[in-house]
Amino acid sequence: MDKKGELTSTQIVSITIGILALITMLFALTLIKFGEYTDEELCKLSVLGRAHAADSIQGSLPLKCSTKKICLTRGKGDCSENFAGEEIEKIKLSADDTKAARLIEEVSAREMYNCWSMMGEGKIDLFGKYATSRGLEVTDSTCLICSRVAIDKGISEDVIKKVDIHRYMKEELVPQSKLTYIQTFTDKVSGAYPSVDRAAYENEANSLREGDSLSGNGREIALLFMQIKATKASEVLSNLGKDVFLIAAGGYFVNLGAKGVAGVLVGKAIRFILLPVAIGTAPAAALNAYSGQITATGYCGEFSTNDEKAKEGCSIVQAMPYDANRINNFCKSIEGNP
Amino acid sequence: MIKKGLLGHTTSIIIAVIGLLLLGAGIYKMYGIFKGEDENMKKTIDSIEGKIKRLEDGDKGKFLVRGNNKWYVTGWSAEEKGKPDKCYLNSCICICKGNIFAGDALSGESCQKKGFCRIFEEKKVIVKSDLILKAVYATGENSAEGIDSSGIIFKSNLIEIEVKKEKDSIEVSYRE
Repeated sequence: MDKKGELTSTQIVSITIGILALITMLFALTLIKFGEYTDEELCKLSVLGRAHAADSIQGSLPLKCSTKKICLTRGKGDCSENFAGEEIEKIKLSADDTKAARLIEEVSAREMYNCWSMMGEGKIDLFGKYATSRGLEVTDSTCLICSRVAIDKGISEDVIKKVDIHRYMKEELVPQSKLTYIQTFTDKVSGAYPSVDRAAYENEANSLREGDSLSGNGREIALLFMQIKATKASEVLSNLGKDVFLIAAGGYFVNLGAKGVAGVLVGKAIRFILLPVAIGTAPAAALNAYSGQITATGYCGEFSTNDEKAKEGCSIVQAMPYDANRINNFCKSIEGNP
Repeated sequence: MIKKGLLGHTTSIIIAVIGLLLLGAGIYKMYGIFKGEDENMKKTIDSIEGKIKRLEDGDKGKFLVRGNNKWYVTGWSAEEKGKPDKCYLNSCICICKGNIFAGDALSGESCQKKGFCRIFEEKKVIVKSDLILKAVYATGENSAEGIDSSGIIFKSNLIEIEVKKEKDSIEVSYRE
């Protein structure tokens, strides 16, 4: 019998559901991190936010990715020539030259991988709507400087000469992975660097103008993520292949797309590795320095995007000397925090 | 004894309040994630200050700066008039919000309202770029001799600025 004041079964069910909802909400509340996010967490969150945001607001969501400044040093050196007035992360190198060189290789390769990974391996359309909101063409390149790595002036040239980042990326595994850096960048398809048409490379390198020679002390690199959209990825590829600054920075597209010598076809997309070739010609001599050593890796194909007009393009993570001319020629605009 | 209606309403209200708090916390957190233009500009002026202070008297240095094309760098000498109040009686270099080409003034007032300044001991500070000087001359209000400091507008990528430091002066310049 339904006595006055007693709860009906409907009310009991409602209250139970209510309590369950309350518990679920409290659980969700605990998942929201109220403390400080690390820079990497913030960056990943903003990348995901931008990628999944509605078209109308995508352009107003900034990428909260701060450029990491890494100083490779021994003792008291703090790379002040490069980073005065900036917050840096110091990594202490061993007194043993070989061990120091290995650590330089490790940090450089790791930063390249982190940049690639944080930016969604190049498959996410990150800048399309942002570019149009800033009055840029979607076909203009937009970059983000993931990190700057500098070697303190106290580190001798002998150490730098021992640095071989190509070997490191070919032989060493990505942390917490069973794949080498090259395998990771080429989606497991390739384990070796592509062969290089040396004559063609030298021809391009020799075409560098006088003013194109590397500036600075050759001890600082910027790891850039660049994305460019087009109606056809092949258009971007052909233009980038002729980019003298890309060559100057150490990368060269070799027969890319034609026979896949440098690029690896994964489905309809191309994963590629660019590599510098150490040559002794005058304008390109500086390519042999630390700042010209690192390869670039990229993805060309369809992006995850709602923009039907330009859903193809290329994303590249490229190591470059930290030089305004070189970077500005590669990047029409730069996003992220300085 | 608990009344049926009262219990039902109370539970709903509690859930609604917690739900709203949760939503508010989420929005606040997202706002925290996506704000930050000012923080970036503070970082930029700190970087400029650090690099200038690292130079010895008589030194020249070139360094790269990345800003935001809605902001510009300008500066005032200690005895110059029209400085932002936050510079007090000192020389200062400031990073301020505004678009000079869209008619925003290169004034201390605008830097006082929306800008970050760093104080320098040197009595004379000059900040100039060819681009802005040309724009200022074009207005016909100033003569070439009348302008000491102008400003440096950021681009959407990097700019390389040159700093000359003497015993009693700092000159920051940018050439296209």
